[in-house]
Amino acid sequence: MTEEGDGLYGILNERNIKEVQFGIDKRFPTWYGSNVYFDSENKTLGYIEHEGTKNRDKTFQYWLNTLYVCEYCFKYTNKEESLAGHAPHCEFKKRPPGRIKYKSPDFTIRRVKGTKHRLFCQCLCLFTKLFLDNKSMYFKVDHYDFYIVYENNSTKPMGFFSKDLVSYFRNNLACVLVFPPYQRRQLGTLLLDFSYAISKFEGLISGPETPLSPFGLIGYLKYWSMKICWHLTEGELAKLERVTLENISAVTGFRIGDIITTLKYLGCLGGTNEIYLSVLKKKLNRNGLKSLINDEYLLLDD
Amino acid sequence: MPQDTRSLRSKEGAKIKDEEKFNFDDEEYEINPTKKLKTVSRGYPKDTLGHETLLSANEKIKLIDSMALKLEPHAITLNGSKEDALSDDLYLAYHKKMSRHEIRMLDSDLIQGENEADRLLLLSEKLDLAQWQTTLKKITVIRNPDDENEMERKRLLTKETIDSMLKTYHTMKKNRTIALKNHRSGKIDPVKHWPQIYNSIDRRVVLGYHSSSDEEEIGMNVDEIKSHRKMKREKQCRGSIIIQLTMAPHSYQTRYAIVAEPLRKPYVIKISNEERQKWNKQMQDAPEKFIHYTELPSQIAVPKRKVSIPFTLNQQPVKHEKSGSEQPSFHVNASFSKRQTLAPKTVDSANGLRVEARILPVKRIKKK
Repeated sequence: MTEEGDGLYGILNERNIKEVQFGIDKRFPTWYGSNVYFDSENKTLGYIEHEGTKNRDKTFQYWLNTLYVCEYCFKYTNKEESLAGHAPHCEFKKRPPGRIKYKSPDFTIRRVKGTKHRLFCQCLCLFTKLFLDNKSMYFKVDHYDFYIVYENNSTKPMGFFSKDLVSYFRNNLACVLVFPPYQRRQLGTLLLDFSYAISKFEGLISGPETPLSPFGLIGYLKYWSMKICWHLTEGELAKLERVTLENISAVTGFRIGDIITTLKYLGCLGGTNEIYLSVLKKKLNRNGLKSLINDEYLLLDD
Repeated sequence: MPQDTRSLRSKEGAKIKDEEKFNFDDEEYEINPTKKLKTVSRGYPKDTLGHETLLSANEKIKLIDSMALKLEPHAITLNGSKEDALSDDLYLAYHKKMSRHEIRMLDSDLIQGENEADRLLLLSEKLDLAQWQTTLKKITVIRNPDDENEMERKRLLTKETIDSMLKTYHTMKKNRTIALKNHRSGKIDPVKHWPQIYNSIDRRVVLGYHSSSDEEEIGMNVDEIKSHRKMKREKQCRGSIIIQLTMAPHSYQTRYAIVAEPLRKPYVIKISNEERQKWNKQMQDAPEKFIHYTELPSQIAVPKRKVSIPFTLNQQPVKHEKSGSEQPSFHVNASFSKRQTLAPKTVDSANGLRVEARILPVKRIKKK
C-alpha cells in the first residue's frame, strides 16, 4: 500500500479523516492520518460489520469526513445519531476511571491501568494517533499505565501520558498529548513534571521514550530548561561555585544527555564548559513554574 | 496482502546496531558528568552556538503556534434513546482482532530480545576462555592489539557492559511477568511474610491486595485521601508499627519516632504532644525500663529533603480537625554516645491488634 508511510503500522502519509466531532459540542480537524480505525480491506470503520464487499474508490483522500468521538470515554462512530444516543449514558461521564494520584486545588491526575480499562485505553490510543505523528501502539495496552489530567469537579479528560511498565530503558513516558480543546494551558508541562515525579519516587534517573517528535522535543526542552534554570539559580543547586552534571541529574531526575542538550539550548555554556548564571537568571520563567507539580498534593505512596 | 507490509517499527536501526562495536575510547558524553563545572555569576559566554540553537528552536515554536487547531462549536442534538448506542460489545471483535495482530508483532520483538540476550551471554562467557583475545577484537574497538594492558582493560569493560545490559534485560522480563494478569507465583502473603510489607514494594505482588475504587474519595482533599488510604492499607495488610526513639516506655522527653506503614517505606517523624500521650498510654503495661537492647553503631547525620506528612492520629478524616498541625518529618541518623544507646521497642498503632483480627473475617467472607 503506497499510502502507508514507509510501511509502518498505523501511519499514513496524509490525513484520511477530515475532522472530529468531540463530544456533543466541539468540532476540529485532525492533524495526521490513521488507518487503524479502519478495516484494512474496505476503508470502513473496523468495528462495523461490512455488508458485502464494496471497494471504495481509492482516489478520495478522505476515508471519512467526520469521526464522532465521545469526549469522556473516546468511543468512536461514523454516525452522529450514535454519538447522540450514547452521550447521556456514558459511564465515565458520571465517574471517571482510575485512581487519584495527584490532587491540587485545580487539577486531578488519575492513573488508569491498561489491564483494567482495556477498551477505554484502546479508544484513547486510537484518538491520540490523529494528533501524534509517530505513535505505534493502539490495542495492546496491558503493559501500560495511563495518567489522565482532569480539572477538579469535571469528568472530561483534558490530556494524558502513557507509561510503559516493562520498558528496557525504564522510560517514564511513552507518549503524551493534551487534547485540542485544552491546549495552551500549560497542561503538557504539568504532565511532564508528574512523569518525573513518578520516576524520582521510584528512585530512577529517567526520561521519555525516544525518538521524540519535533513537538515533543520542544515541549521537553522548555520543561527541562525551566527546571534547570530554577535549580541552578534559586533551587537546591543555587549558590554552588561548582556543580557536576551528576548533581543536576540527581536533583532533577533527568538523564545526562538531556541535561547537556538543555544547557546547550539555553546557551549558558562557556568555552571551557563553565555555566553562566546570568544567562539562566535572564531566562528563568517564573510564570511557568506555577504550572509545575506541587509535591504537597502527590499521592504516589498512599 | 497489506498486513505483510506492515511492521511495528522501522527496521533500519537494527541493522546499524549489528555493526556496532563497544567503544570505550570515545567519551560517552561530550561533557564529563563527574567533572565539576564552574558557575559564573557575571558576564556572558562568547560562544554563539547556543544562540543558533535557540533561534532554530524558536522557529519551530512559531511553526507549532501556526499549527494551532481551529476549534469550532458544533452542537449535535441529543436523541432520547433509552439504551447506550455505543455499548462495549460493539467494539469487542475488532479490537480483539487488532490486539492479536499487535501481539504477534510484539512477539517477534520478544524473540529478537531473547536472541540478543543469548548472544550477549555467549560473548561474555567467551571473554573468559583462553582465546578471549580473538573474541574481544571482534566486538570491541581496539587501538593496539599488542598492548596487553589495553586488551585486559577493555576485556573487563566489555564484560561489565554486557553484564549490565543483561541485568537490565532480566529486570524488564521480571516486570513483564508481574504485569501478566493471572500472575500467581511469588506473591507476598501479609500474614505470613509480614516483614516484607513494611517497605515500598510493587503492590501487584501482594496477595489479596486490590487497588480499590476511590468513589469515597471524590469530595476529599489530599490529606483526607491519605488518611483514608492508610486506613485501607492497614485493613488489607497489617497495622502500622511505631517505634519511639527513647530509653524508657514512658518517657515524656521523646522527640522522634520511626513509623512503619504497610506498603511504604518507614519514615521518621518529630512527635507531637498528642501522639506522645497516646502512645505512652498504649505502653502503660510495659516495664519501666527496657531490659534488653542492642547497641547501635555510631552514626553520622545525613540531611535529606523534608516531606510534609499529614497528622493522621485519628483514623477517620474529620473536617473539624483540619486545623491539626502537620508535623514536618525528615530522615536523620543521629549520633549517640555509648552510654545513651537507645533500645526502641515496638508499639502497635492505634488499631494494630484489631486490624490483625479483622484480616481473618475478611478472608472468610471472601471464601464464601
